[in-house]
Amino acid sequence: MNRGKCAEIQRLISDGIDSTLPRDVRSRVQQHLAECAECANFEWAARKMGSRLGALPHVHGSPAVREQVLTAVYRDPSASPLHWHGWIRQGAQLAVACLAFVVVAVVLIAVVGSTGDRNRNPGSGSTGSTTFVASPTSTMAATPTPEVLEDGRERPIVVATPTQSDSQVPVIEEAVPLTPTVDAADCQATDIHVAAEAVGDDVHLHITAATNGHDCGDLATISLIITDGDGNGLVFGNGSVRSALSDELQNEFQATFLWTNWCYDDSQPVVIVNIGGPGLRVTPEVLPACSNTDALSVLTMIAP
Amino acid sequence: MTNEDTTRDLSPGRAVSSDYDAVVVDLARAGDAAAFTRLFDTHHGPITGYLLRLTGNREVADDLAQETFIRVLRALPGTDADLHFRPWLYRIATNLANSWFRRRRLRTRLPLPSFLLGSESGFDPQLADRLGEDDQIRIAFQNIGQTHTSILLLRHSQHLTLQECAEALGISPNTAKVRLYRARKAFITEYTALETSLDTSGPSGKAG
Repeated sequence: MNRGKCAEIQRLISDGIDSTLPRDVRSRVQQHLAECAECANFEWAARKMGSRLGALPHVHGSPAVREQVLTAVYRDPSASPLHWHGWIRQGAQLAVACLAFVVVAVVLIAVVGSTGDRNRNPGSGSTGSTTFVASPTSTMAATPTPEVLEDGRERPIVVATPTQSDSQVPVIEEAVPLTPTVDAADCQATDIHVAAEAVGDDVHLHITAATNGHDCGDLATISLIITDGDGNGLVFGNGSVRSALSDELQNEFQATFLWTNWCYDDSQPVVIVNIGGPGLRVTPEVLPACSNTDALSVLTMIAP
Repeated sequence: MTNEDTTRDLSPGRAVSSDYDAVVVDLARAGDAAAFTRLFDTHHGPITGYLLRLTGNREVADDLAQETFIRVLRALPGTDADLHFRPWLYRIATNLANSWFRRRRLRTRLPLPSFLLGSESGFDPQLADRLGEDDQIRIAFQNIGQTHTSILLLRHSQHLTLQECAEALGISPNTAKVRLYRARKAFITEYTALETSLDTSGPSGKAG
Protein backbone atom coordinates (compact mmCIF):
# COMPACT_ATOMS: atom_id res chain seq x y z
CA MET A 1 0.00 0.00 0.00
CA ASN A 2 1.31 3.42 -0.94
CA ARG A 3 0.18 5.64 1.92
CA GLY A 4 0.69 8.88 0.02
CA LYS A 5 -1.21 7.62 -2.98
CA CYS A 6 -4.00 6.24 -0.80
CA ALA A 7 -4.41 9.62 0.89
CA GLU A 8 -4.70 11.27 -2.50
CA ILE A 9 -7.18 8.68 -3.76
CA GLN A 10 -9.30 8.93 -0.62
CA ARG A 11 -9.42 12.69 -0.98
CA LEU A 12 -10.59 12.23 -4.57
CA ILE A 13 -13.21 9.74 -3.36
CA SER A 14 -14.45 12.36 -0.92
CA ASP A 15 -14.52 15.01 -3.66
CA GLY A 16 -16.43 12.59 -5.88
CA ILE A 17 -19.21 12.33 -3.30
CA ASP A 18 -19.81 16.07 -3.52
CA SER A 19 -19.21 16.68 -7.20
CA THR A 20 -18.54 14.87 -10.42
CA LEU A 21 -14.92 14.02 -11.01
CA PRO A 22 -13.41 14.30 -14.49
CA ARG A 23 -13.54 11.07 -16.44
CA ASP A 24 -9.79 10.45 -16.37
CA VAL A 25 -9.65 11.03 -12.61
CA ARG A 26 -12.59 8.70 -12.07
CA SER A 27 -10.92 5.95 -14.02
CA ARG A 28 -7.69 6.44 -12.08
CA VAL A 29 -9.64 6.12 -8.83
CA GLN A 30 -11.45 3.02 -10.04
CA GLN A 31 -8.21 1.43 -11.10
CA HIS A 32 -6.74 2.06 -7.66
CA LEU A 33 -9.84 0.77 -5.88
CA ALA A 34 -9.57 -2.52 -7.74
CA GLU A 35 -6.15 -3.04 -6.19
CA CYS A 36 -6.46 -1.43 -2.75
CA ALA A 37 -8.79 -2.86 -0.12
CA GLU A 38 -8.21 0.01 2.29
CA CYS A 39 -9.34 2.67 -0.18
CA ALA A 40 -12.24 0.51 -1.30
CA ASN A 41 -13.30 0.23 2.33
CA PHE A 42 -13.00 3.97 2.73
CA GLU A 43 -15.24 4.57 -0.27
CA TRP A 44 -17.82 2.09 1.01
CA ALA A 45 -17.77 3.57 4.50
CA ALA A 46 -17.93 7.18 3.27
CA ARG A 47 -20.98 6.50 1.11
CA LYS A 48 -22.63 4.47 3.85
CA MET A 49 -22.00 7.29 6.30
CA GLY A 50 -23.60 9.79 3.92
CA SER A 51 -26.67 7.59 3.62
CA ARG A 52 -26.94 7.16 7.37
CA LEU A 53 -26.61 10.84 8.12
CA GLY A 54 -29.05 11.67 5.35
CA ALA A 55 -31.61 9.31 6.85
CA LEU A 56 -31.47 10.68 10.37
CA PRO A 57 -35.00 11.21 11.65
CA HIS A 58 -36.59 14.60 11.26
CA VAL A 59 -36.64 16.73 14.38
CA HIS A 60 -39.71 18.80 15.09
CA GLY A 61 -39.19 22.32 16.29
CA SER A 62 -40.42 23.24 19.72
CA PRO A 63 -43.92 24.81 19.79
CA ALA A 64 -42.71 27.06 22.62
CA VAL A 65 -39.92 28.41 20.43
CA ARG A 66 -42.39 28.97 17.61
CA GLU A 67 -44.64 30.91 19.91
CA GLN A 68 -41.77 33.03 21.22
CA VAL A 69 -40.41 33.90 17.79
CA LEU A 70 -43.71 34.57 16.10
CA THR A 71 -44.92 36.59 19.07
CA ALA A 72 -42.00 38.88 18.38
CA VAL A 73 -43.32 39.31 14.86
CA TYR A 74 -47.04 39.61 15.46
CA ARG A 75 -47.70 40.84 19.01
CA ASP A 76 -46.64 44.41 18.40
CA PRO A 77 -46.09 44.96 14.69
CA SER A 78 -44.80 48.46 15.30
CA ALA A 79 -42.02 47.03 17.44
CA SER A 80 -41.11 44.31 14.98
CA PRO A 81 -37.79 44.76 13.22
CA LEU A 82 -39.57 43.80 10.04
CA HIS A 83 -41.78 46.80 10.57
CA TRP A 84 -39.43 49.46 11.77
CA HIS A 85 -36.65 48.52 9.44
CA GLY A 86 -39.03 48.91 6.53
CA TRP A 87 -40.10 52.22 8.00
CA ILE A 88 -36.50 53.33 8.25
CA ARG A 89 -35.95 52.40 4.65
CA GLN A 90 -39.04 54.30 3.59
CA GLY A 91 -38.00 57.21 5.78
CA ALA A 92 -34.54 57.17 4.25
CA GLN A 93 -36.02 57.18 0.79
CA LEU A 94 -38.34 60.02 1.76
CA ALA A 95 -35.42 61.97 3.21
CA VAL A 96 -33.43 61.50 0.01
CA ALA A 97 -36.42 62.66 -2.02
CA CYS A 98 -36.82 65.74 0.19
CA LEU A 99 -33.14 66.53 -0.11
CA ALA A 100 -33.30 66.14 -3.85
CA PHE A 101 -36.29 68.49 -3.92
CA VAL A 102 -34.47 71.08 -1.82
CA VAL A 103 -31.36 70.86 -4.00
CA VAL A 104 -33.41 71.20 -7.18
CA ALA A 105 -35.37 74.07 -5.69
CA VAL A 106 -32.19 75.91 -4.65
CA VAL A 107 -30.64 75.36 -8.06
CA LEU A 108 -33.81 76.51 -9.81
CA ILE A 109 -34.00 79.59 -7.65
CA ALA A 110 -30.39 80.34 -8.39
CA VAL A 111 -30.85 79.75 -12.11
CA VAL A 112 -34.01 81.83 -12.20
CA GLY A 113 -32.20 84.49 -10.27
CA SER A 114 -29.32 84.36 -12.70
CA THR A 115 -31.67 84.51 -15.67
CA GLY A 116 -33.45 87.40 -14.07
CA ASP A 117 -30.09 89.07 -13.58
CA ARG A 118 -29.27 88.76 -17.21
CA ASN A 119 -32.71 89.60 -18.52
CA ARG A 120 -33.96 92.22 -16.21
CA ASN A 121 -32.29 92.84 -12.98
CA PRO A 122 -28.92 91.19 -12.43
CA GLY A 123 -28.75 89.06 -9.33
CA SER A 124 -32.44 88.85 -8.66
CA GLY A 125 -35.51 86.78 -9.43
CA SER A 126 -39.12 87.56 -8.87
CA THR A 127 -42.08 85.74 -7.40
CA GLY A 128 -45.19 87.60 -6.53
CA SER A 129 -44.44 90.80 -4.83
CA THR A 130 -41.18 89.68 -3.25
CA THR A 131 -37.80 89.51 -4.91
CA PHE A 132 -35.33 86.73 -4.00
CA VAL A 133 -31.68 87.09 -4.72
CA ALA A 134 -28.91 84.66 -4.38
CA SER A 135 -26.72 84.66 -1.35
CA PRO A 136 -24.04 87.32 -1.19
CA THR A 137 -21.58 84.51 -1.02
CA SER A 138 -22.75 83.22 -4.36
CA THR A 139 -20.89 84.04 -7.52
CA MET A 140 -24.25 85.10 -8.90
CA ALA A 141 -24.61 87.69 -6.23
CA ALA A 142 -24.65 91.24 -7.39
CA THR A 143 -25.85 94.41 -5.92
CA PRO A 144 -29.58 94.21 -6.49
CA THR A 145 -31.46 97.13 -7.81
CA PRO A 146 -34.96 97.30 -6.42
CA GLU A 147 -37.65 96.87 -9.04
CA VAL A 148 -40.10 99.74 -9.17
CA LEU A 149 -43.68 98.55 -9.25
CA GLU A 150 -46.52 100.23 -11.14
CA ASP A 151 -47.73 102.00 -8.03
CA GLY A 152 -44.31 103.54 -7.61
CA ARG A 153 -43.30 101.36 -4.62
CA GLU A 154 -40.13 99.37 -4.73
CA ARG A 155 -40.51 95.56 -4.57
CA PRO A 156 -39.03 94.41 -1.27
CA ILE A 157 -35.75 92.55 -1.55
CA VAL A 158 -35.11 89.42 0.50
CA VAL A 159 -31.53 88.29 0.52
CA ALA A 160 -31.19 84.51 0.60
CA THR A 161 -28.38 84.12 3.06
CA PRO A 162 -26.80 80.68 3.51
CA THR A 163 -29.50 79.03 5.53
CA GLN A 164 -29.18 75.89 7.61
CA SER A 165 -30.68 73.77 4.86
CA ASP A 166 -28.34 75.26 2.26
CA SER A 167 -25.26 74.51 4.28
CA GLN A 168 -26.44 70.99 5.18
CA VAL A 169 -27.15 69.83 1.69
CA PRO A 170 -23.61 68.93 0.67
CA VAL A 171 -22.90 67.51 4.11
CA ILE A 172 -25.86 65.20 3.91
CA GLU A 173 -24.89 64.18 0.41
CA GLU A 174 -21.49 63.23 1.67
CA ALA A 175 -23.11 61.22 4.46
CA VAL A 176 -24.80 58.96 1.92
CA PRO A 177 -25.27 55.95 1.88
CA LEU A 178 -28.31 56.37 4.04
CA THR A 179 -28.95 52.66 3.74
CA PRO A 180 -26.25 50.84 5.68
CA THR A 181 -25.33 48.42 2.95
CA VAL A 182 -21.63 47.83 2.80
CA ASP A 183 -20.04 45.92 0.04
CA ALA A 184 -17.66 43.23 1.22
CA ALA A 185 -14.91 44.84 -0.78
CA ASP A 186 -15.24 47.97 1.35
CA CYS A 187 -14.90 46.04 4.53
CA GLN A 188 -11.14 46.03 4.87
CA ALA A 189 -9.38 45.09 8.02
CA THR A 190 -7.03 47.82 9.08
CA ASP A 191 -5.74 46.77 12.44
CA ILE A 192 -5.37 43.17 13.46
CA HIS A 193 -3.96 42.13 16.79
CA VAL A 194 -3.40 38.47 17.48
CA ALA A 195 -2.23 37.42 20.90
CA ALA A 196 -1.48 33.78 21.61
CA GLU A 197 -1.57 32.38 25.07
CA ALA A 198 -0.79 28.89 26.32
CA VAL A 199 -3.38 27.74 28.85
CA GLY A 200 -2.69 24.22 29.97
CA ASP A 201 -2.76 22.03 26.90
CA ASP A 202 -4.71 24.62 24.96
CA VAL A 203 -3.57 27.54 22.93
CA HIS A 204 -5.84 30.53 23.08
CA LEU A 205 -5.60 33.00 20.24
CA HIS A 206 -7.19 36.32 21.10
CA ILE A 207 -7.84 38.29 17.97
CA THR A 208 -9.10 41.83 17.77
CA ALA A 209 -9.67 43.58 14.52
CA ALA A 210 -10.89 46.93 13.34
CA THR A 211 -12.14 47.87 9.91
CA ASN A 212 -11.64 51.01 7.92
CA GLY A 213 -14.51 52.89 9.49
CA HIS A 214 -17.27 50.97 7.77
CA ASP A 215 -20.07 49.40 9.70
CA CYS A 216 -19.48 45.92 8.40
CA GLY A 217 -22.44 44.46 10.26
CA ASP A 218 -23.16 40.91 9.30
CA LEU A 219 -20.18 40.78 6.97
CA ALA A 220 -17.85 40.66 9.91
CA THR A 221 -16.42 37.31 10.67
CA ILE A 222 -13.09 36.25 11.94
CA SER A 223 -12.01 32.82 10.96
CA LEU A 224 -8.85 30.95 11.60
CA ILE A 225 -7.26 28.75 9.03
CA ILE A 226 -4.18 26.64 9.31
CA THR A 227 -2.31 25.96 6.14
CA ASP A 228 0.43 23.49 5.50
CA GLY A 229 2.87 26.37 5.41
CA ASP A 230 3.81 25.76 1.80
CA GLY A 231 0.75 27.44 0.39
CA ASN A 232 -0.39 24.12 -1.04
CA GLY A 233 -4.05 24.45 -0.32
CA LEU A 234 -5.73 25.43 2.86
CA VAL A 235 -5.96 22.90 5.59
CA PHE A 236 -8.27 23.48 8.46
CA GLY A 237 -7.12 22.20 11.79
CA ASN A 238 -8.25 18.62 11.50
CA GLY A 239 -10.58 19.09 14.42
CA SER A 240 -7.93 20.88 16.37
CA VAL A 241 -9.55 24.28 16.05
CA ARG A 242 -12.18 23.99 18.69
CA SER A 243 -13.96 27.29 18.57
CA ALA A 244 -14.42 30.29 16.37
CA LEU A 245 -16.37 33.12 17.84
CA SER A 246 -17.20 36.34 16.11
CA ASP A 247 -18.68 39.19 18.05
CA GLU A 248 -20.09 41.89 15.87
CA LEU A 249 -19.23 45.28 17.27
CA GLN A 250 -19.92 47.64 14.41
CA ASN A 251 -16.43 48.18 13.07
CA GLU A 252 -14.45 46.42 15.75
CA PHE A 253 -14.38 42.69 16.17
CA GLN A 254 -13.02 40.19 18.57
CA ALA A 255 -12.62 36.47 18.42
CA THR A 256 -11.01 33.84 20.52
CA PHE A 257 -9.85 30.53 19.17
CA LEU A 258 -8.86 27.54 21.22
CA TRP A 259 -7.20 24.41 20.13
CA THR A 260 -5.24 21.67 21.73
CA ASN A 261 -3.36 19.97 18.94
CA TRP A 262 -1.05 22.77 17.98
CA CYS A 263 1.10 20.70 15.63
CA TYR A 264 -0.47 19.64 12.44
CA ASP A 265 1.09 17.04 10.20
CA ASP A 266 4.52 18.26 11.31
CA SER A 267 4.08 21.32 9.18
CA GLN A 268 4.73 24.94 9.81
CA PRO A 269 1.37 26.44 10.72
CA VAL A 270 0.25 29.76 9.38
CA VAL A 271 -2.58 31.80 10.77
CA ILE A 272 -4.78 33.77 8.47
CA VAL A 273 -7.47 36.12 9.69
CA ASN A 274 -10.40 36.84 7.44
CA ILE A 275 -12.53 39.89 7.85
CA GLY A 276 -15.61 40.14 5.73
CA GLY A 277 -15.15 36.93 3.84
CA PRO A 278 -12.98 35.51 1.09
CA GLY A 279 -10.52 37.88 -0.48
CA LEU A 280 -10.08 39.99 2.61
CA ARG A 281 -7.33 37.97 4.06
CA VAL A 282 -4.75 39.59 6.19
CA THR A 283 -1.13 38.94 5.39
CA PRO A 284 -0.22 35.61 6.96
CA GLU A 285 2.00 35.61 9.97
CA VAL A 286 4.14 32.57 10.53
CA LEU A 287 3.84 31.09 13.98
CA PRO A 288 6.60 29.24 15.75
CA ALA A 289 7.34 25.71 14.70
CA CYS A 290 5.31 22.97 16.30
CA SER A 291 7.98 22.04 18.77
CA ASN A 292 8.30 25.57 20.02
CA THR A 293 5.00 25.79 21.87
CA ASP A 294 6.53 27.73 24.74
CA ALA A 295 6.89 30.73 22.51
CA LEU A 296 3.15 30.87 22.12
CA SER A 297 2.68 32.09 25.63
CA VAL A 298 4.41 35.34 24.81
CA LEU A 299 3.66 35.56 21.14
CA THR A 300 1.92 38.67 19.95
CA MET A 301 1.45 39.40 16.33
CA ILE A 302 0.31 42.57 14.71
CA ALA A 303 -0.57 42.23 11.09
CA PRO A 304 -0.59 45.20 8.76
CA MET B 1 -37.23 10.18 -10.24
CA THR B 2 -34.31 8.71 -8.41
CA ASN B 3 -34.48 7.52 -4.87
CA GLU B 4 -32.34 10.45 -3.85
CA ASP B 5 -34.76 12.89 -5.47
CA THR B 6 -37.68 11.31 -3.68
CA THR B 7 -35.95 11.65 -0.35
CA ARG B 8 -35.12 15.24 -1.09
CA ASP B 9 -38.69 16.14 -1.98
CA LEU B 10 -40.59 14.29 0.66
CA SER B 11 -38.45 14.55 3.74
CA PRO B 12 -40.56 16.28 6.36
CA GLY B 13 -39.41 19.75 7.14
CA ARG B 14 -37.01 19.66 4.21
CA ALA B 15 -36.41 23.09 2.80
CA VAL B 16 -38.29 23.69 -0.41
CA SER B 17 -36.73 24.84 -3.64
CA SER B 18 -34.35 27.74 -3.56
CA ASP B 19 -36.56 29.70 -6.00
CA TYR B 20 -39.51 29.40 -3.67
CA ASP B 21 -37.30 30.30 -0.73
CA ALA B 22 -36.07 33.37 -2.59
CA VAL B 23 -39.59 34.65 -3.17
CA VAL B 24 -40.56 34.13 0.45
CA VAL B 25 -37.32 35.71 1.62
CA ASP B 26 -37.99 38.77 -0.57
CA LEU B 27 -41.46 39.14 0.96
CA ALA B 28 -40.16 38.68 4.49
CA ARG B 29 -37.40 41.19 3.84
CA ALA B 30 -40.04 43.70 2.75
CA GLY B 31 -41.83 43.28 6.08
CA ASP B 32 -44.39 40.59 5.29
CA ALA B 33 -44.94 38.84 8.63
CA ALA B 34 -46.80 35.94 7.01
CA ALA B 35 -43.81 35.31 4.75
CA PHE B 36 -41.50 35.32 7.74
CA THR B 37 -43.79 32.81 9.42
CA ARG B 38 -43.56 30.61 6.36
CA LEU B 39 -39.79 30.86 6.40
CA PHE B 40 -39.74 30.01 10.07
CA ASP B 41 -42.01 27.00 9.65
CA THR B 42 -39.93 25.71 6.76
CA HIS B 43 -36.61 25.91 8.53
CA HIS B 44 -37.46 25.60 12.22
CA GLY B 45 -37.36 21.79 12.34
CA PRO B 46 -34.18 21.38 10.27
CA ILE B 47 -32.35 24.08 12.22
CA THR B 48 -33.41 22.52 15.52
CA GLY B 49 -32.26 19.10 14.29
CA TYR B 50 -28.93 20.53 13.16
CA LEU B 51 -28.34 22.24 16.49
CA LEU B 52 -29.51 19.22 18.45
CA ARG B 53 -27.03 16.92 16.72
CA LEU B 54 -24.30 19.51 16.98
CA THR B 55 -24.73 20.19 20.70
CA GLY B 56 -26.29 16.91 21.81
CA ASN B 57 -28.73 18.78 24.04
CA ARG B 58 -32.37 19.40 23.17
CA GLU B 59 -32.83 22.32 25.53
CA VAL B 60 -29.74 24.05 24.21
CA ALA B 61 -30.82 23.33 20.64
CA ASP B 62 -34.19 24.98 21.26
CA ASP B 63 -32.58 28.01 22.85
CA LEU B 64 -30.10 28.40 20.01
CA ALA B 65 -32.81 27.87 17.40
CA GLN B 66 -34.89 30.61 18.98
CA GLU B 67 -31.91 32.96 19.07
CA THR B 68 -31.10 32.09 15.46
CA PHE B 69 -34.53 33.12 14.23
CA ILE B 70 -34.62 36.23 16.39
CA ARG B 71 -31.35 37.27 14.76
CA VAL B 72 -32.75 36.47 11.35
CA LEU B 73 -35.79 38.58 12.16
CA ARG B 74 -33.57 41.52 13.06
CA ALA B 75 -31.04 41.21 10.28
CA LEU B 76 -33.11 40.09 7.31
CA PRO B 77 -34.47 43.53 6.34
CA GLY B 78 -30.93 44.82 5.98
CA THR B 79 -29.73 42.01 3.70
CA ASP B 80 -29.13 42.27 -0.01
CA ALA B 81 -31.52 40.88 -2.58
CA ASP B 82 -29.02 38.25 -3.69
CA LEU B 83 -28.76 36.76 -0.21
CA HIS B 84 -28.32 32.99 -0.15
CA PHE B 85 -30.76 32.43 2.66
CA ARG B 86 -30.05 28.85 3.74
CA PRO B 87 -26.27 29.20 4.03
CA TRP B 88 -26.80 32.51 5.82
CA LEU B 89 -29.29 30.93 8.21
CA TYR B 90 -26.98 28.02 8.98
CA ARG B 91 -24.07 30.40 9.42
CA ILE B 92 -25.96 32.24 12.13
CA ALA B 93 -26.90 28.96 13.79
CA THR B 94 -23.34 27.62 13.55
CA ASN B 95 -21.85 30.79 15.02
CA LEU B 96 -24.28 30.63 17.91
CA ALA B 97 -23.43 26.98 18.50
CA ASN B 98 -19.72 27.78 18.40
CA SER B 99 -20.28 30.49 20.98
CA TRP B 100 -22.15 28.02 23.15
CA PHE B 101 -19.31 25.48 22.87
CA ARG B 102 -16.84 28.16 23.80
CA ARG B 103 -18.82 29.28 26.85
CA ARG B 104 -19.28 25.69 27.94
CA ARG B 105 -15.57 24.95 27.64
CA LEU B 106 -14.74 27.97 29.71
CA ARG B 107 -17.04 26.73 32.45
CA THR B 108 -16.07 23.12 32.54
CA ARG B 109 -14.34 20.46 30.57
CA LEU B 110 -16.81 17.73 29.88
CA PRO B 111 -15.32 14.26 29.73
CA LEU B 112 -15.58 12.27 26.56
CA PRO B 113 -17.89 9.26 26.74
CA SER B 114 -15.17 7.09 28.16
CA PHE B 115 -17.71 4.48 29.23
CA LEU B 116 -17.61 3.27 25.66
CA LEU B 117 -13.89 3.10 25.21
CA GLY B 118 -13.19 -0.09 27.12
CA SER B 119 -13.44 -1.72 30.50
CA GLU B 120 -10.54 0.27 31.87
CA SER B 121 -12.50 3.40 31.18
CA GLY B 122 -15.57 2.19 32.96
CA PHE B 123 -17.26 0.50 30.03
CA ASP B 124 -20.82 -0.50 30.80
CA PRO B 125 -21.77 -3.54 28.71
CA GLN B 126 -25.45 -3.26 29.56
CA LEU B 127 -25.47 0.33 28.38
CA ALA B 128 -23.62 -0.67 25.23
CA ASP B 129 -26.24 -3.26 24.45
CA ARG B 130 -28.94 -0.63 24.57
CA LEU B 131 -27.16 1.71 22.21
CA GLY B 132 -28.86 2.26 18.90
CA GLU B 133 -27.39 3.51 15.67
CA ASP B 134 -28.40 7.09 16.45
CA ASP B 135 -26.53 6.88 19.72
CA GLN B 136 -23.41 5.65 17.97
CA ILE B 137 -23.64 8.51 15.51
CA ARG B 138 -24.13 10.97 18.36
CA ILE B 139 -21.11 9.66 20.22
CA ALA B 140 -18.99 9.65 17.08
CA PHE B 141 -19.99 13.29 16.52
CA GLN B 142 -19.02 14.13 20.06
CA ASN B 143 -15.61 12.54 19.59
CA ILE B 144 -14.72 14.21 16.30
CA GLY B 145 -15.57 17.71 17.55
CA GLN B 146 -18.02 20.32 16.34
CA THR B 147 -15.89 21.59 13.46
CA HIS B 148 -16.10 18.26 11.68
CA THR B 149 -19.59 17.51 12.92
CA SER B 150 -21.02 20.74 11.58
CA ILE B 151 -19.79 20.24 8.03
CA LEU B 152 -20.94 16.61 7.95
CA LEU B 153 -24.38 17.59 9.19
CA LEU B 154 -24.67 20.49 6.77
CA ARG B 155 -23.64 18.36 3.82
CA HIS B 156 -25.43 15.09 4.54
CA SER B 157 -28.30 15.80 6.93
CA GLN B 158 -29.22 19.31 5.84
CA HIS B 159 -28.39 18.58 2.20
CA LEU B 160 -26.48 21.78 1.56
CA THR B 161 -24.28 21.77 -1.51
CA LEU B 162 -20.53 22.04 -1.14
CA GLN B 163 -20.72 25.73 -2.07
CA GLU B 164 -23.50 26.31 0.46
CA CYS B 165 -21.51 24.50 3.14
CA ALA B 166 -18.60 26.82 2.43
CA GLU B 167 -20.86 29.86 2.69
CA ALA B 168 -22.48 28.60 5.87
CA LEU B 169 -19.09 28.10 7.51
CA GLY B 170 -17.46 31.21 6.09
CA ILE B 171 -14.74 29.29 4.30
CA SER B 172 -13.69 28.80 0.70
CA PRO B 173 -15.06 25.87 -1.32
CA ASN B 174 -11.59 24.36 -1.47
CA THR B 175 -11.28 24.52 2.29
CA ALA B 176 -14.74 22.99 2.58
CA LYS B 177 -13.60 20.11 0.37
CA VAL B 178 -10.57 19.45 2.50
CA ARG B 179 -12.55 19.77 5.70
CA LEU B 180 -15.20 17.38 4.42
CA TYR B 181 -12.57 14.83 3.54
CA ARG B 182 -10.99 15.06 6.98
CA ALA B 183 -14.37 15.03 8.70
CA ARG B 184 -15.40 11.89 6.81
CA LYS B 185 -12.17 10.18 7.67
CA ALA B 186 -12.46 11.16 11.34
CA PHE B 187 -16.10 10.07 11.55
CA ILE B 188 -15.43 6.74 9.86
CA THR B 189 -12.53 6.07 12.21
CA GLU B 190 -14.59 6.90 15.29
CA TYR B 191 -17.69 5.08 14.15
CA THR B 192 -15.77 1.97 13.16
CA ALA B 193 -13.91 1.97 16.48
CA LEU B 194 -17.20 2.31 18.28
CA GLU B 195 -18.74 -0.59 16.39
CA THR B 196 -15.70 -2.73 17.02
CA SER B 197 -15.78 -1.84 20.70
CA LEU B 198 -19.45 -2.79 20.98
CA ASP B 199 -18.98 -6.00 19.03
CA THR B 200 -16.12 -7.20 21.18
CA SER B 201 -17.29 -5.99 24.58
CA GLY B 202 -21.05 -6.22 24.54
CA PRO B 203 -22.87 -8.92 26.54
CA SER B 204 -24.33 -10.38 23.40
CA GLY B 205 -20.83 -11.39 22.42
CA LYS B 206 -21.14 -10.48 18.79
CA ALA B 207 -17.43 -10.74 18.26
CA GLY B 208 -16.12 -14.05 17.29
